[in-house]
Amino acid sequence: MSQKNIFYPFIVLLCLFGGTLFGQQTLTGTTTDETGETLPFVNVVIESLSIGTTSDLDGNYTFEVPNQENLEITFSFIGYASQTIPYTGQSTLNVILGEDTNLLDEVVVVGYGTQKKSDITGAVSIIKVEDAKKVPSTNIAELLRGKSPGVQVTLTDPSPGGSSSIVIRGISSFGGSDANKPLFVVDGVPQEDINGINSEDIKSMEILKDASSQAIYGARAANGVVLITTKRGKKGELKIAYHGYRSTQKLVRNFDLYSGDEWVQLRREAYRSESGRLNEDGWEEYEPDDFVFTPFQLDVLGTGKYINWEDEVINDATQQSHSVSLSTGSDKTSLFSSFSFFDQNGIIPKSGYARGTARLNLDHKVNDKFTFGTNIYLTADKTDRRSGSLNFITLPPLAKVFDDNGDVIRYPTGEIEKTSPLWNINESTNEFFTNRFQMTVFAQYEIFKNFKYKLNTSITRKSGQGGTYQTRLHSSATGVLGKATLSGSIDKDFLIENIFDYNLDINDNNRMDFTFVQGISKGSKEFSKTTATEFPNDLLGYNGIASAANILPVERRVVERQLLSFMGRMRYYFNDKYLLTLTARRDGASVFSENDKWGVFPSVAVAWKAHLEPFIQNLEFVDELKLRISHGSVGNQAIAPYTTLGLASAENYLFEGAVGGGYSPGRSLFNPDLKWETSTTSNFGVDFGLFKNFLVGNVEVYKASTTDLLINRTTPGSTGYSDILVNIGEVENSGVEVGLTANVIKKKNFEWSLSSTFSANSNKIIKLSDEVDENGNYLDDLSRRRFIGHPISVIFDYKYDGIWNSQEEIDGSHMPDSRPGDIRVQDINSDGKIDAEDRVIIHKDPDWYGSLGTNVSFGGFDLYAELYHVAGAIKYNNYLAGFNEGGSLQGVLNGIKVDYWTPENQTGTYPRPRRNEFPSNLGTTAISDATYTRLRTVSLAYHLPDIITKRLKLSDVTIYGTATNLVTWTDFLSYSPETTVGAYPDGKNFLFGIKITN
Amino acid sequence: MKYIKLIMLLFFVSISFIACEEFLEENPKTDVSIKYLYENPEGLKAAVIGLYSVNRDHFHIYPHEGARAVWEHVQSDLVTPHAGYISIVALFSQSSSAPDQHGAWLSSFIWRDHYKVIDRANAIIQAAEKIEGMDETERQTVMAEAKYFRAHSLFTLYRFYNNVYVTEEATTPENVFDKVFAPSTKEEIFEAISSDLEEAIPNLEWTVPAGRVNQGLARHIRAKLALWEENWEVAAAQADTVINNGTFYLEEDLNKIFGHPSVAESYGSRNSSEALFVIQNEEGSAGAGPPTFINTNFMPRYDDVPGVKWDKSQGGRGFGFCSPNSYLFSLYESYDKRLDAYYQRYFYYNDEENMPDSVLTDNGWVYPKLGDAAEIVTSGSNQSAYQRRLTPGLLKMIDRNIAGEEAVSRANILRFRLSETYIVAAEAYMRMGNTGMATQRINPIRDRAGIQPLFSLSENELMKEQAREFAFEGQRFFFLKRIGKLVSQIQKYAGEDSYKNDARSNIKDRHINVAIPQSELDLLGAGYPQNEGY
Repeated sequence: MSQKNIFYPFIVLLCLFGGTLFGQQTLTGTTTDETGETLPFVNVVIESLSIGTTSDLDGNYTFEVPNQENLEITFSFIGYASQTIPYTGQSTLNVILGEDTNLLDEVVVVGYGTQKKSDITGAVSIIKVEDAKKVPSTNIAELLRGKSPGVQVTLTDPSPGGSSSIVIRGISSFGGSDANKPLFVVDGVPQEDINGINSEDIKSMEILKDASSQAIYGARAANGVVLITTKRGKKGELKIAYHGYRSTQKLVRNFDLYSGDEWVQLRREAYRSESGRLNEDGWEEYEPDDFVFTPFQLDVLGTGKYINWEDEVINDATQQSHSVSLSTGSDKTSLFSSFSFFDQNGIIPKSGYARGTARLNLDHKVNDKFTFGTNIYLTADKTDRRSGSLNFITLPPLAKVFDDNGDVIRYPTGEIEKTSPLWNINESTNEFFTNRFQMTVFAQYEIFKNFKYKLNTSITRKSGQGGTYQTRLHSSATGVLGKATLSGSIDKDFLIENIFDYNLDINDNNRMDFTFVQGISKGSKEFSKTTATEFPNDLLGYNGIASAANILPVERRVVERQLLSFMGRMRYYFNDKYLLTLTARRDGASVFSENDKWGVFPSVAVAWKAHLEPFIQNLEFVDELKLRISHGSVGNQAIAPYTTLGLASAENYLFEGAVGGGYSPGRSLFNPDLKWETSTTSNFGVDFGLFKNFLVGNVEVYKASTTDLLINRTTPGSTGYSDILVNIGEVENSGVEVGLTANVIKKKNFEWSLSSTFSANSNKIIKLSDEVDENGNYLDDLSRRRFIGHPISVIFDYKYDGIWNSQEEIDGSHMPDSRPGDIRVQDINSDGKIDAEDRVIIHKDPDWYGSLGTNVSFGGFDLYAELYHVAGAIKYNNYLAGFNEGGSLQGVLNGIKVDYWTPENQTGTYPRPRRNEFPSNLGTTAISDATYTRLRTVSLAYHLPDIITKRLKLSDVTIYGTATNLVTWTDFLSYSPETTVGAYPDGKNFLFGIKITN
Repeated sequence: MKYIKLIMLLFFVSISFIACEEFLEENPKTDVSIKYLYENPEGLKAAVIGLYSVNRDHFHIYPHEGARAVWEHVQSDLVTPHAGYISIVALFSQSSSAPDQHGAWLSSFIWRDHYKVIDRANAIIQAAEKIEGMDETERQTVMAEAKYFRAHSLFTLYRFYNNVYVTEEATTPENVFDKVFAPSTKEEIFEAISSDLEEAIPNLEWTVPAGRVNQGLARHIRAKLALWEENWEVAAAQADTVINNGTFYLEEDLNKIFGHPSVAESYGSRNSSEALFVIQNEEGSAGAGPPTFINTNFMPRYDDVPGVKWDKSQGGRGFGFCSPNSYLFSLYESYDKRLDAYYQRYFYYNDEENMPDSVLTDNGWVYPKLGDAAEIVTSGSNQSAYQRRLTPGLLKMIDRNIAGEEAVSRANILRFRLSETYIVAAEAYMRMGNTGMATQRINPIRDRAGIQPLFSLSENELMKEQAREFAFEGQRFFFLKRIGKLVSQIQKYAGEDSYKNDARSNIKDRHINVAIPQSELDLLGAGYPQNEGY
């Protein structure tokens, strides 16, 4: 390192404290826009010296310019075209900044390089990162919600440190969530999950949605690609930014549980229906209370002190986050570094998540031809896991939570099947620690003019360590004197890519560029787990495992997967109006069968910038109009390693106490012939900007067909296997996506814009196997509820048709075995009986979903609000129909309050409670409309006025408050329309934060 | 300089190209491949041990508190159901017995468990026929054990589902979707079972480590099959061979068969001299299998009674799902030793802290003290306090190795015992009209229980003795079904006269066969028949 670099930080510091070490001249001036209005906050910068100032509220600036030759001053302001003016020693310089009409022409990361937005030929969504970050979250997927059409984000685990799933343009694979997960590429390195990333580090996010843009990632791109680029250092003085927030989460529900008295009545009804003694109306008589209730329950009933379990267990949860980032750079070296700390308490006592991250992104330019850089990213987190479920709210209200001393009562309902949730929380520890280290090193060398070689390498190590302990008093560890598990995992990944770039400018009208990539990558996962029981005492928890008397069999798993890839891309620009992109990637994956390891994924895309044609240029109101068409294929390799080999798992046995080492093939039959799943997509897109970019947007229409689907087919039980993975069948996704932004008002002190997204996707199974019926139509897979011509996600059940009110109705009906109070289902084929033929197919996927957001900036205030709407989604609400979820109306558990049928309440829409019977066809009542509209975000920010920030020697201080999930309109009975009652809900969140930049 | 760098780069590139194909090869590290299992003598021996484990997986805690493991135990005339899913099975209700309702989902585990055993046995038998380099005796033993399991599972399937089919071809990726359109005939099924057993018998040892398949077991099952075939001579001959061989003999002390709390803990293994086959399990062992709730299913919740708490010496923890009914107890003489050996009829006060001062019983107020048998009013409105709590418990499944309050058990399960061989022989001789041999075979069981010998044997008496000796051992359903008395017995005796006797009205002729789950029928060839009446 040269001396200059060593002293570099000092130089930066000198700059920072506004040194006047050199001779200076004072330059003053006014900044105005084209209409003559003054422009405040314009950046006035001499980039070569990394010094600058900004204009004040009246557009006036004063700048001390050093006495040097050949200085250039740059004036810039967001939304306006920057101007760079040579400084010739004058003392006044007034500048008029013109509006930047071509806002669209940002540079976009497209994978293995960048491209001007206007040159893109595929369907690429660019996320407005600043809007996205207005709902700060460790759950990065949530940042994407509602920000891009075609991208459906669904909360899967809202518990502290939880996650969401992202589905881009519908489900195309039967492999479950893992096989439908997009590929995440962070700074050029594919990763399994992105939740480790500090959202403050994110500079840009793009989503590749069609095969032409995805094809560069070939075999892993079938579910779309999410590209994330982190911030890098910029030449200039040290910029320090702080962002901190605190938030409180509150649970909101749209259903009632039975109150104490209501539950008592429910139980009486459940017993009554089986009493067998009839009154004069022919209905059963009630049983006496001392028959219906246990002595314990009678006791509580007498006192009337009913328990609301929600109040007893659930707390408001808080979060806090602090993040500091530093950015600076010299001519040769620049760095970006950040540190963050995040801490979250769950709504269940003792649950929580804490995380620290650190990043260093470094770039160094050795000479004009050779540059290199590195990204180092570290995270450490700790999760305190508790019950992942709120199932305890179904505990009966006839209970006692605390004894006279205020201690938790172990069996609050007097029954030993039901241990108090608080008891188990107190008697257990469940901690999980993750440490992640990722280092990327890249170098670029210009071998000759326009021909560059880039090396991209990365290693990742992720270690997880889990420890659980259940004391001898915990319900799962009674009798075994305490139980501990200690688990450890190490994930190792490496990537090496050789990337060649060649630009060929044939002449002004013909430009071409070529990219060739060769890469290898490998990932392995090692997992071990030890379980032990019989601890001498509970003092040390799981760390006392060495003193446990009984060590249970140790688990160990190692899986590895390798990938070899070659990719070539050619982009051709003719006249800058006609664009062509050709891409092909060839991938080899270890997980496939010996003869089918390789797959080739080609694509082609063309685009036409129509607005550059004279006949469109004549249309005043059109600023941009670009048409795009693409076609190509990508793959999916989401199967587990060794699936094609056929493995036998350990099945040990005992003979008179001696262990015999046994093996047997598992429940899935191996298939030696597995190969890639291939998705072929055609995409048609239009990008437009109208009326001086008053209205900016894009429309995409696509159709994707996935063939050679990796389908887990249920095998007949008589084969001895449950299923087999096969390459067969075809699924089609087609849809429309619209993204629109209206820049309604755009004045310097008042801006108002509206943006919306709309996505509709239709998912259809074309073929599941080669088997056909007598008419030559492909057969359904009934056992897996998969039907030709219907989407993948369906419910297949009878159709609820009310409740039978009387025996007269039942006699001679299609359900002769029913009794009054039973559920009536529809005889769909009207054959007078209910059998398998009467089940109907119900589609679960939403018809469409979208968002509407608005941004208002006025003075120092920014207001952002966003509505999110999911239309026509159907979900199965197991809390309306499950025994363990309190849905079965047997008077055993509490549950969602419903209008159940009794002889006196014949308008009830749920069946008659019966103590010993699970109501027939109860599942039909649980099929619920999960359409919802949610005011997802309201965020108000205030930028402290310049006068104050200047005095504080800061460039910006913003305080803001964000409310999340403020209002939800839905008929789906739950805490949150995306999860059922028992799942850890995402409640209302109120957040207050501050951002400070020097 | 420029070229040196270029060469370096190209070198780097070429490294990445080296050994492409090798790089993509898969080498599992923590599992063995199927190829090894079936093509290597050591692998094949491991596969047979795996077969024992697969066979044991049927006795599993999942789903519904392990209801699949005790389905055939509760569909009988000797049971009072109280609660839990298994009680619904005992009620023959629509939801538990119809092919498209919840019970069929549970039943599909039984279907799949046994067909899985058959498939893994098929694979072992096929591999053993082809294997090279294996010791011939070992090879024959491997085949014999696999054939025993195949025969037993097919026998069980037939007795459950009637419309089953014989498969002797191991499942492969090529044949997995070959459709089956019709069940095998009864004759084909019996032929498959008997030929497997008869091929296995000569290659099985009499004396083996506990838990292993032996010749006595194979002959015992052969004898039981012969009863289904109504081939009384074969039944009697096979049973007599087992009885006369001497390897197995009736345990004199009834308490030692199931490891009654009064005998040494080691008897809790149930590997007694009378045991023909015991499913082996052990908490914490590397050879441990899944946990079960079998004991808790049949032990009442006496801990709910003030003054009584969980106690392993009283049978351990219970859920009180099903209990032996009054009809069963009415069959015993008051002095029958089996009453105390097989059942925990009374639960004794053992919780000093919570002793009640006085308790109302059927005989008026009593003032209990520690060690007294707990009593409460059993009838009227108090019945709910009595049922499930102080109804008798079953001691045939208890776990001697766990604390009284623990529900999850890995105790051994006694599947077949010599006592049944005696009763099989007795029935066979009875059917042949050989009263002398029939009574000679049944009287040792009675004698051991301390009741008078019989001088003649009728089917009615046989039925009663079967109940007394084998209640809740999972044989009653098949036994009654075979002799055609299932429906009539259940109509008369299931549950209690004034409590939980819905099975008496629910049972229909169709219930002698368990419905083939609709989900399985959907997967079989079009037109594969459901059992009659469903």
